[in-house]
Formats: sequence, C-alpha cells, structure tokens
Amino acid sequence: MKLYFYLILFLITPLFQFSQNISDAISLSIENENGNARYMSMGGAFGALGGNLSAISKNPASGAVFELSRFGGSLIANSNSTQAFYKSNVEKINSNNANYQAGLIYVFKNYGDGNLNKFSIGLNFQSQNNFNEEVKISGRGNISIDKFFLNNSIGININNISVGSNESVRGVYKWLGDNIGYSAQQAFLGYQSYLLNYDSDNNSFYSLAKYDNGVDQENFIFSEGHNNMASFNISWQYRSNLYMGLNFNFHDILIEKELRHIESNFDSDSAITNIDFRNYLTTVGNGLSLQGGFIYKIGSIRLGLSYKTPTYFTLEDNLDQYMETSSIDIDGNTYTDIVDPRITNIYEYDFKSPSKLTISGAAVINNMILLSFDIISKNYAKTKFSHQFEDVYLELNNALARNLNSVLDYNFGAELKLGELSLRGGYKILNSPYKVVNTNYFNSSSFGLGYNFNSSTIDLALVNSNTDYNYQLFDSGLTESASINDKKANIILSYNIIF
Amino acid sequence: MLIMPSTKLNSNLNLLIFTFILLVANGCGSFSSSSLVSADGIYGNNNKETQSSSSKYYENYFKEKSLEMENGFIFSDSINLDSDFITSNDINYSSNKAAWGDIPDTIDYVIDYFPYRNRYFGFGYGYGYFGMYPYYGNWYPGYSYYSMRNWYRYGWMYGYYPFYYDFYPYGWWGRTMPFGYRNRYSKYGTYVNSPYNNFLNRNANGNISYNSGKRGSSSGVVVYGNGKTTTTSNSNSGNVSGVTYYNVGRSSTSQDDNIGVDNNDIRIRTYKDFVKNNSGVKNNVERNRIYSRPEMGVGNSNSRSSANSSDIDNKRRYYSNPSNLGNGRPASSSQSSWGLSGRNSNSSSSSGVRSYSNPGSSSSSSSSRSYNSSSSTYSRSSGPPTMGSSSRSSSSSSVGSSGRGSRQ
Repeated sequence: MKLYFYLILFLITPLFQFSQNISDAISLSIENENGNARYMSMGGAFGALGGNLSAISKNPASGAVFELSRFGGSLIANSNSTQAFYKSNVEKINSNNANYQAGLIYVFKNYGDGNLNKFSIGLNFQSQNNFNEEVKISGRGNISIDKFFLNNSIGININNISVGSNESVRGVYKWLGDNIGYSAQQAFLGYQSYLLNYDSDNNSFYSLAKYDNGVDQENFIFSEGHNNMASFNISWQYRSNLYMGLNFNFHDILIEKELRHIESNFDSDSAITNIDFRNYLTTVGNGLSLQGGFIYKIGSIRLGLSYKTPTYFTLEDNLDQYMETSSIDIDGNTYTDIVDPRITNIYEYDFKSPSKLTISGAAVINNMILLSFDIISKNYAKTKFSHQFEDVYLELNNALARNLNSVLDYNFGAELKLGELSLRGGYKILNSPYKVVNTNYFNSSSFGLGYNFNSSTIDLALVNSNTDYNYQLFDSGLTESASINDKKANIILSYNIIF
Repeated sequence: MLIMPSTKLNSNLNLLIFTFILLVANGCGSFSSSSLVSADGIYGNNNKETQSSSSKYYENYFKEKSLEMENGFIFSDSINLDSDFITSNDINYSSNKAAWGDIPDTIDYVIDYFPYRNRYFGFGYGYGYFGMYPYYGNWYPGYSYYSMRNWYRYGWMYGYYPFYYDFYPYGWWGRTMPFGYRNRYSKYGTYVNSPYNNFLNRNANGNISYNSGKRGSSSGVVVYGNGKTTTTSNSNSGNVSGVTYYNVGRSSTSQDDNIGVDNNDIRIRTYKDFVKNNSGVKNNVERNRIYSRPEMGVGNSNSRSSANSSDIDNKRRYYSNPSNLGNGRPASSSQSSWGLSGRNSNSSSSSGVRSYSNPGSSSSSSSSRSYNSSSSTYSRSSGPPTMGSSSRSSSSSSVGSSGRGSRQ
C-alpha cells in the first residue's frame, strides 16, 4: 500500500505578488483543514463517505451515516521547514506547532416504521487553517524600505507629521491615525526617524538613505494563529439510501504576526546606516456560515454533495509599529532614533469568504477496498472586505475580483480493510487562487493506519505537504517578493470511542 | 450583519457545548450494533467471521501459553546467571544520582509536569526544539489563548530574555518579543493576562487609535505586480489607488531650511544629503541642510548644539513616553506634561505656525485649529472618519465644526 506515499512534488514557484491585504483575503479564505487521522490519511476525501467526525465539517450529511454514536479526538503535531528564496539567497527555518480535533456524534435510530430511518446530532471542532509559520527572508536588494515611506509620504503635510514643542510622538501618531490614516502614520515614522527629510523647494520628502550599491535586507515573519471551526450538526437518513444534514459553523480567527524588516550595509556615505522597522499585527474575530449536504447510496457507489455558504467574518486588526534608525551626520556623530509610539491602531472590518461547493464520489469494492474523491469548487474572486464606510475597501475588492480566480481543489483517498486493520493513503491538491498562476498552492500526500477495536478505534496518519507562494515584503515601495516553500510533516493520532 | 458580538457568541458557545455534553451524558442509551453494517456505516459488516477467527486465535494463543507455563519458564539468553551478585566495585556513585535507598546529594525539583513550562528558567533551547504544544481554550479569545504564547518556541531567537524587563531586546536579528507580551485592546477583550503585563501599564484608552481607513498603503500600492515590481513616482502619483485623501494636504508654501523652532532647545544636525528621486540615481549634492529638533526629555534648559553634543558619539533616543498617558495633541501648552518631544519641522514662515487654544474654555469655532489659512493647505480637521469623505471635507476645510474637542 504505497499509494501516493511520500510522493513529494517540487513545484515551480508561482510568479505572483500580492499586497498584504490580498494575502489576508486568501489566508482567511483558504481552508486546509486539520482533521482526524483517518480523514487526513485519506486526503480528506470523505464528502461521499461520511461516517467520520471530521467529515461532518465537509459534508453535514456525514453525521447520519454513523450507525453508532461516537466521541473522538485527535492530536496533530506539525513540523515546518520553511525556505525563503530572495535575491538569490536562501534562508531556512524550522518550527513546530500542534493542533487538535475533537468531535462527538449521537445517533438516534428508528427501529419502527417510517421514512426517517435515523437522525444524528453532532459537533466537530477542528482547525480549518492554521497560520503557524516562521519565515526568514534575507538578501541584498536594490530597493530599500525608504521607498515604502516615501510612497506613503506623498501628499502628507509636513506640519501634520511634525511634533511640536508641547506635543509627544505618541500623541501625534495617534492623532494621525484617528484623523488621517495609515499613510500619514508611515510618513510620520519615516520623518521622525530621520529616514525622510523634507524638501521645501519641491514640497516633497526625500530619503536620507543611499544605496546605489544595494542594501542588505532581512525580513522576518513570525506568525501564529488559527481559523478554527466548530460545526454543530444535525443530520438524518431518509429511507435507506439518502442522507441529509445541516451545519452551523462558527469560526474563530486569531492571527498574531510579528513582521520585522531590517536593513543595513548602505553605501558608505549614506546618512542612514541601519533601519529596523517592526509591525506587530493581531487579527481577531469570528465568523459564521451555514452548510447543507446530501449523500446518496446506490449499491456500493456513494455520491455526495455539499454546499457551504460564504463565511461572514467580523474582524479586528490591531497594529503596533516601531521604527528604529541609525544615522551619521557630516561631523561623524552617530545617532540612533527610535520611534516607538506604543499606540495600537485598531481597524475593524468585515470579511466574506467565498462559498464552497463539494462534489464527491466513492466506491466500496468487495466490502474491503474504499476509493473516494472530492472536487471542491471555490470562487475566490467573490471574497470581499467591507467596512462601515463603503469606500474604504472599494479598491481592494476590485483588486480581489480582478486578480483572484475560481479554482477546483481535489482530494483523493483510498482504504484497504484487512479485518480490523486498515491501511490508508491519500492525496490532496489546493490550487492557487491567483488568476495567472496555474501551479498548486498546496499539495499533500498522506499515509495512515487504523485499528478497530470493538468499541473504539485508534488511527495514525502521516501527512507530508508542500506549500508554495510568493510573499511580497510591503504593499508599496518595497514590493519585492520572496518565494516561500513550506514543507510540513504532520503526525496525527486519533482515538474514537464508540458507544 | 449576521454576526453577533463575539463575546456573546463565545459565552453562548460555552453554554451550547455544555448543554450538549449534558444532553449526551444524560441522554438515552445507545442501541446495540446493527449486525448489517460497521459502526461508521461505511462498510457492510463481515466482522462476524473475522471476529470468530480472531477469538479462536486468542484461544489458541492462551492455550499454548498455559502449556508453556506448566512446563516451566523459558528463560531468554539475555539473563546471565553468573553475574548474580554484585560487588561494590560494580557500583559507581555519581554525585547527584544516588543509589537506591541512599539520600541524593542534590534534589532535582520538577517544577512543572510539562517541561515546556520551565522554559524561562535558564534553559538554553537550541535550534529545532521539537515539542508538542497542545494548547487549550483557543476557542475563547481573551480568555486563555495566551497560555500558549509565553513558552513558545524561541529557540533560535537571538538574545532571548527569560524575563522581559526590557520591552524590546535589541537583538539585531530575529524576533523581538513573544506575542504574549503585548497588550491589546479590542472589543474581543483585553489580553492582559500575561504576568508580565505591567511593564507597559497600558491602562488608558489612550493607546488606541481607531483607524477609520484600511490598513495598508494608499499610494503606490502594488496589489498585483504580475511578476514585476513597480515603484510609483515620488510625486503626483497620488491617484494610484482610489483613496485620495492625501492629495489635499500638501502645503504650497515653502519652508525655510535654516531656522529653528521657537524653543531654545535645539540640536543641529547636518546630514549629507542625497536627494533621491524614484529613479534612484540622483545628484549627491551636499546641501548641508540644518535641521533643528528639540532635545528629548528636556523641557526648558540645557540647550544643546552639535558643538557640545559631539562628545557623545552615539545618541540613542527613544521617542516614546510611557509615563505620559495623555495623548492627542494637548491644548494646554504646559511643558511639564510632556517629557519627550519629537522631531519638528523647521517651519518658520507663517504657514507652519499652529495656534493652540483651549477647547474647554472656548467655543467650538475658536477651538478649531487652522493651519495656514491659505486655500491650498491642509487643515487639521478631524472630519468624518471615512477617508474619502475626509479628504473632501478637509479640502473644503470646514474648520469650525471640527475642533480639538471632537477628537478621540
């Protein structure tokens, strides 16, 4: 049973770049769930099978397939190895994290007559996506972060980003955030740290950094977080062959990121000698979606259909910024300027992720071999940010619609049942949401074992996955991007109690 | 919106889960297994035969074992009967590992059952610590999710400090601080549960800026570069994105370079200037601009110039004032409430002059700030929070309605 086991594909890195906000939209929309061991070892291809706690979150009709009630949980250990390619330089970082899954289904069976054969209520809790990642990007670039500040300083009045004799840095920074917005705050950080100077002749800002020979750059992403989902499920079996179900899905979002950008080794005659720009970003929020599904059984063939509405998120971003520069004046005095306003900028907004349609098929051969697949359709162009003031996200939403695509994702799974022992394999592909990118965003191959005791099951899965994407350093100015390759190894251990 | 406030959602969810479990615990009993299908309902059931064969297997297994028992134990070769007794020479006492029954020289306290909790007690965690981190309670933001933060994988970080007395360790690379050390304020609760939270003492709403716009640049944004990097021009490119508020405020009056602001507390810095256009290559003119800036932390004395500050080579200046929880731009000009001040523009002409007045004691029209009453300049009106309309209204500068008091 070496089906797809350790089939690792090295993909061509997609040629795309995105702003922070488009990548935000994608990370909130992509669902790469962490299910239980049986589910994961079969690539998640459970849409037509049901009978699995994690499958409840894929197709709500799954709950009615169970013959017996069960309770189950999983521990998921994850080891990341993240490579970042930037300016012909490679950096690699390892990190580890863990996740879990838990579910419960209770089956009520109709022993008498009637069309309603049985019904189930259940709950499954798992991570639909996780944001645990550490990336180090480094290389010698030709564009400095000063372009980011310069672009943001366009049109900013010098008086607004100056600090008067009876004002404080944090006061002005806060005032700018309250009244003008993000760009003015960036201009403020650039100006107060002496990275930018004001040219009154041209009424514009200019940079004190000189890097005709390039500049050493280091960019760090430290990210933790999850998109967890609790699915409250009710499902029923109509006569003998049709299963139906409904889910109420509650999402819980928490993403914490430290984004740090460091530059050094400017030209020897540059006034600016070091830059350390830090952004601490936290995103918290909740989401809600509804889901309905069918499973139909024809002999040994099963067909599944599941529709999940768009998830409506209410989110809040908290952003702290910090800027530090070192500079040298013409007399040789060196300065270190730290602009640390310690103000948390809060951005409240709503987000709508695309709806999801899953079409599934499965076959049970000789009551011994199981083959299953899912095709998942999602139109990422329909992702949408919204705000109480309409205009704010207009441009971004247009960009989302312009650049993102409708994609099909595929899950394949197989199981061989040898008495109480099961051997499993699976493969999973998530395609890139970007229009011009035809390669995969994510693919994984998996392998698993399970043993069925009479009143419990124990399952183990090994999943190897590969994620490829491009990370754009900043949304303006320094828009160079690094291509990131994230290799993950997951070990999932599940235990289910049947009662 | 479909969403209810999250705190409600969470508490309701708690309740739901709890009742759900109760329901299950007290609910009707399960039924016996169907003889036709497997428990998960996927396979049909041919377990009967396999079960009987497996039970036969165990029957035979135990029968065989009991026969073995009757015939006596079968020793494996690994036990060497010759070394049955041990002399004292065979025992090595290590200083802290006592033999059985002895009193150890040192006692190792296990401070916590989970080894990761002890991370702050001086272990040097190396690169690639493979651990399992089951974190709990993530479903409830603001309640216990922080518990996973403080002991989390900083093995490769440069200069990690066990106790964060210093807010920012100045490692020149790597991570600056773990997530748990920042306090956040939001409607999702205040995450101040970290034991180290008092380092910042952010107890006022003054730390929050409710940004009305989106997070992200509004000029020169490369949303999708199609593989190419584009940098926008340094000037007149404000119409790149749909948000145009920044176009309004450009001051049309020139500012004088050489004149300091009105306080006596001036540091003169002269940088070699490289006026860079976006083209990147530009003249290396040495313009010898002189910039003035008030010295930090000094309100009224100790005027410094570059002459007397040259004895200190590296001036590390920290533009933040944690002790000053006041925020916004104060109306009162009392120097004592402001410890640090930042960089000022060297505006000498009338355009840069700000007039401050006291919002408490004056009418709204007089408390408004107006900058540079010439028509083309930006007035600091707080305005409606949406950026688009803010730009429009600020250009028309209805200053009277947007006084100082309306901020925050």
